[in-house]
Amino acid sequence: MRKKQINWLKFRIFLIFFLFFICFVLILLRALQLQIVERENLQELAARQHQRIIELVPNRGTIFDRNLSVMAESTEIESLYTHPRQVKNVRQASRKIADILGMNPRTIERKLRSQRPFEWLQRKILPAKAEKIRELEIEGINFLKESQRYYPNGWLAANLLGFVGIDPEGLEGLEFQHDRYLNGHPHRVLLGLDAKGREIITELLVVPTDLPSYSVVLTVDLNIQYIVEKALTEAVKKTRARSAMALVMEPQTGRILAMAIRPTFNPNMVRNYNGDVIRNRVITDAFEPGSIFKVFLLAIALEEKVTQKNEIFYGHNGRYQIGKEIIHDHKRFGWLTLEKIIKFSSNIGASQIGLRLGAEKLDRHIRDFGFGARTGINLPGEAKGIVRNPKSLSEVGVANTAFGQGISVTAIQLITALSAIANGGNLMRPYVVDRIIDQSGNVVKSFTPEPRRRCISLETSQEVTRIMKAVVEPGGTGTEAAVPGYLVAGKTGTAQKIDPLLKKYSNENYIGSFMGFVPADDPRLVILVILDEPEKTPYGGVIAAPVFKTIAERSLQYLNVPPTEVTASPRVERSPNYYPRTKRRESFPPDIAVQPDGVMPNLLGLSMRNALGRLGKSNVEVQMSGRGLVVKQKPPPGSRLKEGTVCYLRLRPPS
Amino acid sequence: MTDRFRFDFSILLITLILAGFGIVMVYSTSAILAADELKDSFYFLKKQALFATGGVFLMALAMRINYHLWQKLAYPILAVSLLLLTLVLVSGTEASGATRWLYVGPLSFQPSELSKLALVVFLSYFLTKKGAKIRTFQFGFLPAILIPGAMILLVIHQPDFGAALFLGIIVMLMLFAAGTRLSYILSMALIAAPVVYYLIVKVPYRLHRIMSYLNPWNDPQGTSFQLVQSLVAFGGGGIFGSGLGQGKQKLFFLPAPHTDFIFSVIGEEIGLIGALIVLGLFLVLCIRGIRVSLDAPDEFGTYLGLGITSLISLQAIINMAVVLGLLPTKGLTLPFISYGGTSLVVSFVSVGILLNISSHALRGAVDRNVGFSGPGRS
Repeated sequence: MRKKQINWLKFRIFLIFFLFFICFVLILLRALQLQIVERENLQELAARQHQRIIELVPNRGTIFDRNLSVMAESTEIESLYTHPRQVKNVRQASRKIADILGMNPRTIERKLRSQRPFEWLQRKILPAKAEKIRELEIEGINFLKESQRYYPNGWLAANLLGFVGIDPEGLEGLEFQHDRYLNGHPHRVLLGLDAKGREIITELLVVPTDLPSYSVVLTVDLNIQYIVEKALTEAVKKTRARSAMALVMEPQTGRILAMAIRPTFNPNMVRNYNGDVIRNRVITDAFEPGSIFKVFLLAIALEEKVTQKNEIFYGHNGRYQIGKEIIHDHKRFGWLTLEKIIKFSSNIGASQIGLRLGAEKLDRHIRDFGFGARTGINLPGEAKGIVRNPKSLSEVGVANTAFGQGISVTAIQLITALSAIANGGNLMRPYVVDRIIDQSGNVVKSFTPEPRRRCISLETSQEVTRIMKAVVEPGGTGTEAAVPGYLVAGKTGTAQKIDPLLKKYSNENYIGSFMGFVPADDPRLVILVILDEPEKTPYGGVIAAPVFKTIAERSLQYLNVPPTEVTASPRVERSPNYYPRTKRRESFPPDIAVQPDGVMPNLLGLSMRNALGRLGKSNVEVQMSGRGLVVKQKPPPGSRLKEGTVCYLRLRPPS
Repeated sequence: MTDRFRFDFSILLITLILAGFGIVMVYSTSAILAADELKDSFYFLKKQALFATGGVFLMALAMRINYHLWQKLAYPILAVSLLLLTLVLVSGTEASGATRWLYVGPLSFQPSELSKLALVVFLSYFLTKKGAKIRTFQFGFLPAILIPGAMILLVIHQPDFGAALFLGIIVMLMLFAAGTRLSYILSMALIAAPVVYYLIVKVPYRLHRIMSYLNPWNDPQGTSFQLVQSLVAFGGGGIFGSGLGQGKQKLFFLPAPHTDFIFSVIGEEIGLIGALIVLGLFLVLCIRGIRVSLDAPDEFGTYLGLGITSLISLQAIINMAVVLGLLPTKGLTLPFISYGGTSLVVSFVSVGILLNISSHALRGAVDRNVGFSGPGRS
């Protein structure tokens, strides 16, 4: 009996052992699973917490102007961080640090009590403050040198340059667009770490990639930029314009020499500004160009040969009806030559030319000039502007387009298109970065002028230039833009802005503008000045033209451009009376050269007197019917005239 | 006693290997911690070596003491143990939310470690005395759980939930061996279950431990931090480990690397090889201990041998299972290897008693002319 009981006891003890044995086997299997099956995952996890890859961003590349003056550079500055678990007296430490940094002690304390091994306390602190904190000698509070972006010229060209974030990655402008080069490849420092976030000295490791950052050399000339910024500042002060911009371009190449915007920001303190101020509005904002657009209309009309340079248009006394709409002029013009349509900026004249071109042709050429498409300047956020579909354009729409309404363009499109006129007809791709260089100055990548297409012929460009010169001559709208000693070609613009509430053109808000190039016959600079919502007079000729003059005068001087040999202004004012109140006889433009003998001129739209004047030197027989303006002619323009040819003109009073 | 003192040499050898290995691992795991917090990287090494020396001395002593002495001393030992447990509640030193240590001069002492041995001695005595009566409820089962129950309650109060649960399991195992009806044990477990549940849910950190056990990757930086770090360390070691002293997890990632989670660092630094060796040593120790229990000349020896073997094996099993994420975090150390003076000394004394039983078992085996394969030494 007892023996049997003992056996049962032994059996139960064996059962207990068996239980233990099962447990040992389970542990063995688990060990195999962890160390063989899951090994890689767990090792990766281990590596992740044992090592920290610190990206020490190398000093970001410098941005130079074209003369290698610094526009943006990086310096080293200290950032304060903590290994929270190492800080002993958290409360006291946070109070002291907060005192020096001028922060809330609670914010600091929260970070010092963080569970994470690493916390930034404040990045990029002033050297004096850093020194004070260093003197506290608190364990667990450390410094790391970081790269700090500095813009030595403050707000100069700020919208072009953009700015960087704290890390520092480019967030706007050139800094953003060329971040790949400027930022280079960060040094990756692999540190062995313990859980307190301290570096393990024995395992301080590897600095593998050390590819340098590159520097960017701009086409911008800091001196011209300064001239532009200064002129713009003065203009904004004087006109109290809500905003303003100015651009200077080298017409033959498309290089941007200066790009300024008001209001602007200081990229050294970018956090104080909102996005509207930071944006490069030269690139991103499209607006209705208004009268300055007539320059392109003129070029298109000449290119399409729908008018001749001697043709005159009737000003309809400042009221021109198309359908139900009435086009107004700022003055009640009578007869206007093509030149004077530009010179005096007649909407009615422009409308007639536009209508003569028709929607399709107008559209095609407008697009040839680069409107409605990005210029490809390689800056972030470029807008296309709006060029309406010609098929949906009414007659009024065409007329509006002709004088720069119902179309929206960017400043960069305008100056690029104007450069094409200035350089003889080539539409260039505008650019701001000349080359990218490495740290020893070797060129890594360079950019060259890139013609995109020929948009007008050389002859057209010369003729447009000739007419644009008249704008600046006495009597023109842009006389304020005249630069002593140099011939200026230009065009004023005074565009009504659309009132966003009324959805109508406002009578209060205008954009006053001026664009032109100088010296007119061998242009070195194309300059565009736009003043948005000036408080006093809105006229581009009054407010923008003087800015143009200032910029042009100082820049030419800076560039040592020799003055144009002006021989006592040979073309000065041959037309003293252009006002519609003067009699029609007097409005006969004396400078209209009669067609060379033997060719029938275009007489359409001319008054009888003008028509006869044009035919005056030809020995032809003229027959006329009706009164008013020529609506039909025979033979058609360009026909050979022989002596005694009968010319038939039909006239009709203007509607 | 004969002039030729024979005992189970393998048990002694394994114990010494484990303890020696423990000292090395304690140094490897604690050096940086000690240097960081106590400015003496040898601090834990020195203490562990000191306690191991004392432990070996006491083991040698216990080996020579006829184990039947403990049968007579069962009640005094129990009384002392209960007194110390009460004392620690009254005047113990608090460490991380629990009162587990008594200080006597420069020495610190953890009464719950002693209570494990005291409980086993008492139960062996009690079960031997009751004999067949253990199968009855009022004379056997009830007294057999009331006295240990009081002990467990005191331990819960420290609070040392892991140790209390551990003691409870030891009681169950020994009662099971003694032939208590399974229905009693099961109903006991059923009664204990809601209490255990309440104790877990009441204390947030216990609940967190359970939650993190169930889903360790849910919040690796928070509640599961310990477990995840343990798995990362152990698994990261691979087959051969990163090399002794080369582990990185002990660098403040793994909490308690020299105590509860030392097995994890073994896995990291010596790899699967090291883990299997430790596991194997404990398994052999378990087998030899059970052998001693089975071969013991009397019931007291059998119970005592089983109890001591269970103490060491089960604690090792639970500790390793916790480290490998098989069980929720308990707070039990790895016998002989983890840092901890009281635990080390009590473990050595336990093994000393076991070795004494083995010597009687061998003599009995020789007397009964039954072959015994283990080596015998004088």
